[in-house]
Amino acid sequence: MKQSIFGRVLLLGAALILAAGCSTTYEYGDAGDVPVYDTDFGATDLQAVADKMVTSLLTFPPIVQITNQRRPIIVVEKVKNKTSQHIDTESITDTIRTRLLRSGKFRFLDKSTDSQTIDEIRRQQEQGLTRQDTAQQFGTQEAAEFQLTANLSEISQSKEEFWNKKKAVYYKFTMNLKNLRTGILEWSDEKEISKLEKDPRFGY
Amino acid sequence: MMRMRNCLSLLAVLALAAGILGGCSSTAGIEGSVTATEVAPGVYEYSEYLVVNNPSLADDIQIVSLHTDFVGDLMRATVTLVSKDSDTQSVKYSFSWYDSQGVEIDMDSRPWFSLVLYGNETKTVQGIAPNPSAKKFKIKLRTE
Repeated sequence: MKQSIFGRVLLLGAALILAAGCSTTYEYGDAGDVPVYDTDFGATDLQAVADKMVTSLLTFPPIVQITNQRRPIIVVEKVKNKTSQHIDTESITDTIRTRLLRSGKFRFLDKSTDSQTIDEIRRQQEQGLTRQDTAQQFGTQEAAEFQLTANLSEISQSKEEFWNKKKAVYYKFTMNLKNLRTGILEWSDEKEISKLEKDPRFGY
Repeated sequence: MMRMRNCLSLLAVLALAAGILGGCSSTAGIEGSVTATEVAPGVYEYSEYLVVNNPSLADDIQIVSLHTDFVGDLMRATVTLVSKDSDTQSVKYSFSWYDSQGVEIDMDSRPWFSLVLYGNETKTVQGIAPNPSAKKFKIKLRTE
């Protein structure tokens, strides 16, 4: 009799655990620790790339020397995406730009909002609503001293065996800082990322 | 009939064990910290401490050095880790930064980075403060 009750309690416990795994649940995660589900370029890779580039640029001795004296103006160009994936590369440069700006060492030009800036200056000058002594003028913006460019490339390899499939993806993100007056590359660095996938054909 | 019941009991015990074990991996880790106190203009005194919240991780990985210097006016953290295991291990680490009042800077940008350590390997990780107000850093280590 005792055994029977014990068995029922066990079965009930097991049923509850199994049933708990059957319903879809939603919860907040840690944005700083996004899980890795595949070998595609993901949020964790973006954070690793941004961290390496920012650390490298802010600690490179000639750049430290320049930023100790002034806050140079940088213009950021779009990343050349040479991978086979659709990657929001603007998100990478946005993160890098935000962290560099918040370090207080650099200033940035934002080319992506130029058309809105032109519209606003034209509105201030032509619509007749703005006091003309306070209206902004064309041709007063500062020019960039440096240009930040980047490439993202990918090499993918896969291997099929009887018992499993393996895939290795290698990413390389290269970033350069060019002096626009002299054309000289003042700084450059790379971040390499390797992601592996192992897909067993049998069991786990 | 009896055999069937025994089988069901065994399955139930296994399911319970799997359910319980599934929620057992600890997210506690090891924390190392260095505080820089400016005793004279440009002269700093450093104090460091180490907290082990996960003894089993501390058996596998050790923080062998916590080093701080200033690049320009930005605090830089250099931490050396050593694997005490002969197998390959994956850990995650994260830096956080604090000003001279102990207030955390840029709380929302604390990404966790993966680090692979081969058997008995020593590796160094580095971080740079978000801005010149940082006078203390903390590194947190935990398992994947």
